Amino acid sequence: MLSDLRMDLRYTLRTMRQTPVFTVAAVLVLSLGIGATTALFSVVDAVLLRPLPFPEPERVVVLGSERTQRAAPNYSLMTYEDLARQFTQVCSLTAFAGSRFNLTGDGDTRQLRGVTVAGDFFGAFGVKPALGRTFTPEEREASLVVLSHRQWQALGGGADVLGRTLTLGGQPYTVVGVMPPSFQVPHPTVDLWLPYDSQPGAATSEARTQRGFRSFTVVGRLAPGATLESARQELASLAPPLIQEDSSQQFGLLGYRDMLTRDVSLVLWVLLGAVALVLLLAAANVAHLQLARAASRQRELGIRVALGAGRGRLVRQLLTESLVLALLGGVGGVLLALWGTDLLLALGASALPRGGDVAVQGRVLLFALAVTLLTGVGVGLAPAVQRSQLSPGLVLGRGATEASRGRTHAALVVAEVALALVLVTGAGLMLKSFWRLQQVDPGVDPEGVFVAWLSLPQEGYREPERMAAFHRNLMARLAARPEVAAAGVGGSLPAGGSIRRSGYWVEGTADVPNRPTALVNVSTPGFLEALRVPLRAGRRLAEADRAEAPRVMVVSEHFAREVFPGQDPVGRRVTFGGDDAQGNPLWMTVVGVVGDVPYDGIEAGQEPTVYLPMDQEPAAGAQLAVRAAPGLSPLALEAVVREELRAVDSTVALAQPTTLEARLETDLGRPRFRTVLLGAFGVLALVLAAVGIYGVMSYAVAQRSHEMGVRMALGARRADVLKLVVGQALRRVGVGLGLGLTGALAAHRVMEGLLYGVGSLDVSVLSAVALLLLGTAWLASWLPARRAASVDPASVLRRG
Amino acid sequence: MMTTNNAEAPASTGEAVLAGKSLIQLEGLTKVFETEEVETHALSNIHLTIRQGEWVAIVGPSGSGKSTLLAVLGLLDTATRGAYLLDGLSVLDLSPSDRALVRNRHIGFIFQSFNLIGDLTVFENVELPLTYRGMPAAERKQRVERALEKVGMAHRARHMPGQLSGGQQQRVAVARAVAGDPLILLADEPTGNLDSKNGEAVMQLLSELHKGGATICMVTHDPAHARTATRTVSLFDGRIVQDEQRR
Ligand SMILES: Nc1ncnc2c1ncn2[C@@H]1O[C@H](COP(=O)(O)OP(=O)(O)O)[C@@H](O)[C@H]1O
Ligand SMILES: [Mg+2]
Repeated sequence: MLSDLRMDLRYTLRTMRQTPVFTVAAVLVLSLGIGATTALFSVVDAVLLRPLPFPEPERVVVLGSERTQRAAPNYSLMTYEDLARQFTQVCSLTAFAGSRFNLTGDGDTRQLRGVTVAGDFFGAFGVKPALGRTFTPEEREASLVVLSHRQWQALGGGADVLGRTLTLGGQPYTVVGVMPPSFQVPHPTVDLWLPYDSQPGAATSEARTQRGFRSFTVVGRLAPGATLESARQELASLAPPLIQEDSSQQFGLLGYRDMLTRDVSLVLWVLLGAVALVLLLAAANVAHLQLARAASRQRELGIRVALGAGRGRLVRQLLTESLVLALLGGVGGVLLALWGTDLLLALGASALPRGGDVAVQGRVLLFALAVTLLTGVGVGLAPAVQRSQLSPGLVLGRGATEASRGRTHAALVVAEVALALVLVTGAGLMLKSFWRLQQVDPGVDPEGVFVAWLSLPQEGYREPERMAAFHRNLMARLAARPEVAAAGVGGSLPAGGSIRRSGYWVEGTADVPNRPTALVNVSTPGFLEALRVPLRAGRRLAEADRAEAPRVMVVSEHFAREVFPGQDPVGRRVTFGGDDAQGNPLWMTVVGVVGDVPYDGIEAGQEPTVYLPMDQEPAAGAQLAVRAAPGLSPLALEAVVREELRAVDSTVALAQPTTLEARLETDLGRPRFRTVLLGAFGVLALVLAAVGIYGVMSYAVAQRSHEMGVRMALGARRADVLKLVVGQALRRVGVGLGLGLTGALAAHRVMEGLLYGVGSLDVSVLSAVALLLLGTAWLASWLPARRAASVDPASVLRRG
Repeated sequence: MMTTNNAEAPASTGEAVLAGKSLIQLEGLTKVFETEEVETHALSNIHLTIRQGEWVAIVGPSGSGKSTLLAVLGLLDTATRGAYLLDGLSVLDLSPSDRALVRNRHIGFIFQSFNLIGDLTVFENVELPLTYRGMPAAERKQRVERALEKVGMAHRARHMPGQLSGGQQQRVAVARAVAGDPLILLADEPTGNLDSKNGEAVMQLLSELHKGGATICMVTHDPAHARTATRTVSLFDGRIVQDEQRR
């Protein structure tokens, strides 16, 4: 048995050496397939399969809609407190929200990404600090801060960091602990965590006093004995009074990991499926190569059978060959995956949740091995079984197996075309969707606009008037600069990541408990001009809309259409809650209608939006948009802005300066990632299918060159021979297309959630892809056909 | 019994067709193969006229140019120099597709190794040259059936070539050659791959065709088969060294 194996191996290595071109080609193709699959699996493993780095991670749950949605919805602190008091199935309930803090003290003011937490944040996740301690729920008002590993490194990475005082937003905080690098809640770039109520003025902040101030994520840990189901049931019983308060809230419960990955799991599974199809295509090509090579070994195998080699023995010999090939391909594949993983990360996988954990190791290597063995057996089995069926008589006589081998080749071509159709259709749909996304009108004119985050330190900006004054001041100074065409500040910028929505009530209608919501963009008068959002009716916000002036708002077309269908919105009054001095609802009068802007990203699309004057609704954090004077680069404005900022208040930090165009580009980052990958797989599929068709037809033509000579002797013209060969190839391709169509439609169904602006049956993409494949097949069979047509007919006499 | 080339061939059956006009006329035909270093004069200055109704046997030692001559006659190959009139038409400088057309319409090939196409049935094999002509299916069917009957293979029309014996295969090949009513049948050692019994049967078939008026040019090694023909042309080193006509 063992000596048999040694013999098989020795023999295999000898045959491989004898046919180096075949060996190299097969190993390369397999490496490509296994490598791409392994690289993608390493991403899937890190993002979707590896448990989160918390104890019992499956028990960490998050409040949110159980239906698919882009991200977990946010809740107000008041709602959280209500829940925390009553919820028994979930313990360590915590609410947290992202916030930016200016770090001052040594050198330039730096903006850090912090998280303000309420409740038992660290208890909910159950992660021990790497250094020092965490703060407890009881220390809710203590000025303590826990640093992320990243930020600790940025601060020098010494143990002496514990006890150090950091000035955050003008407030001294004591560092008590450092979390391990794997703790990245809620995102990998978080710098620090601190108690919400430790912030000055927290108790009277909107978050503490208004239910409409919904910006907190609520997470907890299932209580001992509780299940997700039991917790959901309890939540359902607790929710009604909360929904009474604000009906647009959704009270569902889902696993923290599911929430984290639900935007990306579909795309990752689709990509893994696609790459598996690429591997199948590669394997089909190698199987074909092996089959073709078998032709030259037919006599040898026949002699072996004649000498009494059993069928099992023969199959083993042939499987040994394909397994050795696959193992070589597997080694190449893992090497390729090491590099391919880096490529994936560079292409955008690093932006995926836990994308930083992507690595080729452990389970990924096991996966690669399994895929390799499977490929080896798959590639070897069909030819092995087929060849072991040879009877010695058939082999030593002539040719009857030719037909059955021809059938296997034909089946391979059909399968390859079907697979390629599925893949290329997927790629085509992605491309079309991406193209559609790029065609979407961003609603603004992004060219020449400089953007950045501005955040006011709490120190000195506690009163709304001062915030308003700062913005007014800065805008006036910027507007006076010759380099600036227009300048404004707004809460949201397209693809800017900061969205505030509030429930509204229109005067003259019944106030419903669950008010509809609109996106609220608090902005200065220059904001809409700087973005060049077109004015449709009335006026934009103006300097005159000061705090003491009548309350006004500008609405988007979408808002106007939805709230005042067929009516003139200008002059109508709307409230977002709150009372005026007389205790009446705080009505705001619509003074203008402007074009729509998809602030929450182009994929999410535009939504009802209102613009409130900064003077009437001051905010401490907002985004700056400055349009450069004609002919000036927007990036050149950074220096101008910094200069003016210093003149107004040097403690205000300017963060993430860039251009609006660049921001809109990053908005397309995720769709681009999947489009580039699926596009690459589509191209790969097309190439592999073309190589497959070319190989099979070349082989068939070589096998049939004598027949072609005979046909020409009988009067076949070049055109007849070309037609014969190309026709045969295209017939197989046609069958493949027919079979692949079902798969392509299924793929479309699966991908639907990833597509933008593409119907559920896209005939144009399908037919374009089918034509592309036909064209490719035509080309791939044309070259062998030309060879067939150039057979010298006189050779027929010579061979006879 | 030497006679001149242009002597009238006496009709063995006394039929007028055999007094026939000249069907093939080669003048100073030369074929040189140029390989890397050597030039092979496969045919040198061949003058040969074949008349309608003749049955010419081409004999000669191996390498003397018999197959090359047949290839040129059948327009499978071109000559290096000289003239070739087929039925009065100069065919040496036709385009490849015109030559295919002439082959298809006017020439019937019979090969030593039969050269039936294994994937096609007997019927389809015989039909093949007719399809290249663009002949309507009904007419093709009629012609194929007639040709198969002529060679006694009509009952095997649905068989695959692999299911037939060598002799049967060669009869199908003959049917394929005659189905299109060619001006001339060219056969390269048609009995070379057959045992003597089957060989005789094929010779018998050719005889019948000849009696029916067919013009045949046949390469053979077998002196007995050469004697069945009405004329024997001997090649040596690419030249005609003897041209013998019989009554
Ligand atoms: N395609 C070719 N290339 C080079 N030499 C050839 C070719 N075909 C035939 N010859 C040469 O021409 C000569 C005549 O060949 P052929 O006509 O096949 O002889 P025969 O059929 O009488 O045995 C031989 O010397 C042969 O080697
Ligand atoms: Mg010969």
